[in-house]
Amino acid sequence: MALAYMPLANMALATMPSAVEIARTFESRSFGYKLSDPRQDLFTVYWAWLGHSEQSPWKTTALSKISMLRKTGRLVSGLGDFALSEKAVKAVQKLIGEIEIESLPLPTVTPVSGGAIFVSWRSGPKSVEATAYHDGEILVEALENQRVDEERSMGDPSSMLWWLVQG
Amino acid sequence: MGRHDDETILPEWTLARGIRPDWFENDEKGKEVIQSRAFDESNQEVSCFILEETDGAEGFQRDILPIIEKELEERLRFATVGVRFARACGFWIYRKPEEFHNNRAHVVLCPQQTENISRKQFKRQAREIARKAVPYPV
Repeated sequence: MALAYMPLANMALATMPSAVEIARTFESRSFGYKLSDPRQDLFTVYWAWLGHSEQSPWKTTALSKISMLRKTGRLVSGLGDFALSEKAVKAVQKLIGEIEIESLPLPTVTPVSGGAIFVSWRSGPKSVEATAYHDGEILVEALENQRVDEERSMGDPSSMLWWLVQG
Repeated sequence: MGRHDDETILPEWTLARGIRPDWFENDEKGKEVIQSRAFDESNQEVSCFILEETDGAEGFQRDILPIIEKELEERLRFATVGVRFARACGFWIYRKPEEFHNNRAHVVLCPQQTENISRKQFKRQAREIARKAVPYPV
């Protein structure tokens, strides 16, 4: 069991999703976890679940969040349309599927107005951000200290993510 | 009327945009930062409100934000940015009352041309405006 957690050991604590986000993931996937139930140790359940997953933890987390956003997204007047487009979902799922790096920080996954999806991986001052737009176009950028590294962003997503996890 | 820059929206006015909690992140020093995705938009039209026409930030919080929160089913914060700065970042601003209960204070930010620009360019503009936007409550 401990070996299954090894890829997680190098992760910065800041890359963990928030407790509320984890709880929602569990509630939406019918794991029997309830946010209101104080008897359950959320993080123990979460880490155990990641340990048993066949996918790498970051992929499981990202795909699960995308699935949740797909179910809950809707048009909100005055703010934006958060109903994810199928093309955006397929594009981001393809991107995730093509990345062969098993040990990455858990990504942040949020909707972007107009049916788009945003995924980002962060490690210290570095981050890699991917936005899949409603027509299936994907923009992937590498950033350091919140500034885009234009040259690095010309590369493929996997090379940007290797750069992210290198010290 | 299609995309244009509405000159009745004065440079000294202020715009407010609802910000989802997941559009904030903390930087290395723990400082809260509004992320570019808050001002990014697949169709390149970003909803905002003119504070001068909503009875200021208080009026926006009292009369507009609750309507958006009810639709979203989630609490929101908001950020403000000057009209002059929004234009300097490369946006046109025009009214779209029909997209928010026929409220004239509702506007959209779009590129400074009738056609969409590249996603990379629009993201750059979104990043620039997000960097200077002031979050509320602080």
